[in-house]
Amino acid sequence: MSLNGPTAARLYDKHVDAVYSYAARRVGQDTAVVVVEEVFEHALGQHAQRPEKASSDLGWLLAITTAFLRRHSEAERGRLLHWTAEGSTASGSMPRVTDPLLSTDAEDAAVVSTAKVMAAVAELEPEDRDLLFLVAWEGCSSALAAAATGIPQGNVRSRLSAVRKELRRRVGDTDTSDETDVVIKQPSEPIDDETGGPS
Amino acid sequence: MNPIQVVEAARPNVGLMRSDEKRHIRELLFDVTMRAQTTHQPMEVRSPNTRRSNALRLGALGMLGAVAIGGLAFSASRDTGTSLNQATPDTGPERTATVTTEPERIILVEPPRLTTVPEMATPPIPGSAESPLLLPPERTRLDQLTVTPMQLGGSTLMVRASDLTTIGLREADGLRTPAPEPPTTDEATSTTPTLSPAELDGFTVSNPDETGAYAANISCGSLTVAEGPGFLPFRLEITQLLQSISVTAGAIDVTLPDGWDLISLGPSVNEFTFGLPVAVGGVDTVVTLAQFPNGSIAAAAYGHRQYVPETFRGEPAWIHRSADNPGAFDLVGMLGTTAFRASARDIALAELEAVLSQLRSGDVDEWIRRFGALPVTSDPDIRTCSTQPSFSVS
Repeated sequence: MSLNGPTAARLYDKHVDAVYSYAARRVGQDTAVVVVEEVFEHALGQHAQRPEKASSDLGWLLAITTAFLRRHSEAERGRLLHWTAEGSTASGSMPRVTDPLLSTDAEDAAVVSTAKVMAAVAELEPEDRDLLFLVAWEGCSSALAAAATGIPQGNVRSRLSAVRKELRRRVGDTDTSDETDVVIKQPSEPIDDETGGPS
Repeated sequence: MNPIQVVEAARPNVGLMRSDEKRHIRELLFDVTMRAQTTHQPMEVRSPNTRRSNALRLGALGMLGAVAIGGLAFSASRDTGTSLNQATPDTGPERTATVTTEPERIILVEPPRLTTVPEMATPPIPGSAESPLLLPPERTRLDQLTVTPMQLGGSTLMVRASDLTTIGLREADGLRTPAPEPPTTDEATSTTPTLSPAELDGFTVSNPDETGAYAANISCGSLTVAEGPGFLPFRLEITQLLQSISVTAGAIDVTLPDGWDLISLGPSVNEFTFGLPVAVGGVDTVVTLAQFPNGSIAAAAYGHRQYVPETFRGEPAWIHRSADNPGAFDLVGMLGTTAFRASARDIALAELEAVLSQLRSGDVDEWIRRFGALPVTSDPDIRTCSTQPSFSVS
């Protein structure tokens, strides 16, 4: 099924923000604009056929976005290896005290921990990194994450569980007190499968 | 926190995509046909007929005529020799092949090439009943892009008084309103001359505001009379006009006094506006084009300013030249069934025509496809009167 005319325009209007946010979080806002253009140019091109079995337009677009983001994987890896808390959402994160003399050991530990985890994320397999960011940052449901990564929906949870264990191993964390089954959570602004934007 | 929670907490807050970037990509995506022709090249507008080149053409024609009648050839060629020496064959418009990373702008190449062949027709300006909107070239960064929804049931009237000033009247539908009340003590003792409600036929009117607009209190709607700033309140012509109006059961009857002219009358329609950066002779400026499909000159001109007659593309038009901003003008006229108002500064009308002739012909559907859906009128239909206000002019 190819898209054209008003249908294509509606698709763009409906999902451009979701595609942009996903790309911008991973590769930065400037590169994200380029990615958005590439994604929709590809999606709306004559050669692009939307799979009949695609769970949703957004899932299909996120899959294309994920593919295009691979072109910037080195840049993304560099961002993760030199992670800074700048621009991160405040919800659920440990705030960093501006004056280092005022920071507590606990706060420093949290920042270091985030940097260590993000560095570990940089070393993940690309497919695992895609899945992690789609779930943790974009709030994708398992169905949407499956559509965007090509992972069977039934395997999404186990794959995430494996990702978590791998991250623990890489950061040298032996604390397993919160070791429970991976639950796909809806973050503060989960993506709505229908609207493509924050619900 | 487990590592996934740490990642979740580190989620960057990137916000939404900037609207200009969103629109830019939208244009790229949906202007594929034009894009295939040119991607990054600046678009060039054909050189307009400036007064200078017209003068040279007339000079050349004069000389040819003089040659034909023999005896005057010598004197005619002496008068126009300079012009002919400067003239070069008309090779048509040039294409600027410069590739630039800057946003596209329409570029007028100056000086215009001279020609000994008179042009009998100006380039056609796209736009017709079938394609009532002119759209900017693709990949153009616009200074302004707005759609102003129509006023429900509204209409606009433009008249010219006996002293040749122009006055706009606009009515809009609304709720049933109480009957006019007598003026307050303050109004009665005001030094500003006012018309007593008793002197007006079915309505009252306020003192003008700083823009020279008078708000009339009518039943089931509103009526505004605007002539622009700088006039004495309730000057003779305004008083004449107000006294020529009677409002009865929604009908706003205007019986124009002797020596007055009806210029235009039309319904309120959606207004599509964009500001187009252009370069004229190396000077950057912006042409702002407001279009009113199925609209009227009255609607396009309404805006508290004075207009005088002008000719544009051989058609009657009206122009306002700003006293405060020399070189700036607002030109209103009709392109097919679409009324327009072009606002610019420091360019000639011929150059404006050249800019307009390079716009793309389109319609509302194409506008929506390129720039997104039209705004939804936020005002619900609250009309409660069986007869809503409307103009009747005699």
